[in-house]
Amino acid sequence: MSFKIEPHDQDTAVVTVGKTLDFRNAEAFKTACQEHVDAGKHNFILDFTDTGILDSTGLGSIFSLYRKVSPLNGQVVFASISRPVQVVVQLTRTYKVFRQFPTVEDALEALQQGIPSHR
Amino acid sequence: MYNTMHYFTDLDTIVDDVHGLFDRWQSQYSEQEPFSLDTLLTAQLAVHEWVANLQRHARFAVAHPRVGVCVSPSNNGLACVVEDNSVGFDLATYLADNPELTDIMPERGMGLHWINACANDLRYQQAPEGGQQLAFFVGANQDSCLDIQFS
Repeated sequence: MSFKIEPHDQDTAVVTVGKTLDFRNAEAFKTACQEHVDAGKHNFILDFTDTGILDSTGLGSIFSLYRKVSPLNGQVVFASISRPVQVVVQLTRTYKVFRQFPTVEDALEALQQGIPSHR
Repeated sequence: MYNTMHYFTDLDTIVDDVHGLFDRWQSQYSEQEPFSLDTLLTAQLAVHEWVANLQRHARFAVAHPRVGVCVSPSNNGLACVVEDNSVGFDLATYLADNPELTDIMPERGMGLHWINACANDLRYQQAPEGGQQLAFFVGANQDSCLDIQFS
């Protein structure tokens, strides 16, 4: 499955994406994230350390997550972006929607301080 | 390893096998290459989307499906070729009928548009020895962009 989701606090979950988020595990990603949304999480930090593949279907599953948490005033943010993922971010200009942080810790601090997702 | 067609015959593992090939190219990459690492990663992204498409949707009317990948450096980028012995697909009509992404933050259907955005001189044609061939060029300094609506 590759990814791992861990609750951080009552509002936030950290998703270690792992090596791959693509058409092969995108549905499992959506299902797993929904479970955490149902449990009350509305902020998701996507940790892209060592992620080698983020394809169009994987990004689509992230869009799906964004749709679920935005009405709840939640955020989806990217952390520790690998170079392959940065290529995707530049191609799709998703930095316009998903804030990026150098580390998961930086992302957690920003969310705890209530920094809004849009510049 | 460049300028050589690498063939894959196991459709169940082809995506990982192709990435293994690109991982080897990445591990051998040096600043002396006539292209940037991001150029190689962009090529890898486009090849992934096409190979994923083949794995999920292509019809192989032969007993032994086969997909080949070749990357050839030049002074200003990478020429990429993916060949297969499937029955083919009308890529030109698809792109003509779907010239852009119209949905806001689409959850599917982006793959071929990603390829089109990454690639210069994208061609889908008969392969020289039969079958299909997707050929494109990724420029060394190109700033690929796909127009996605976010609101």
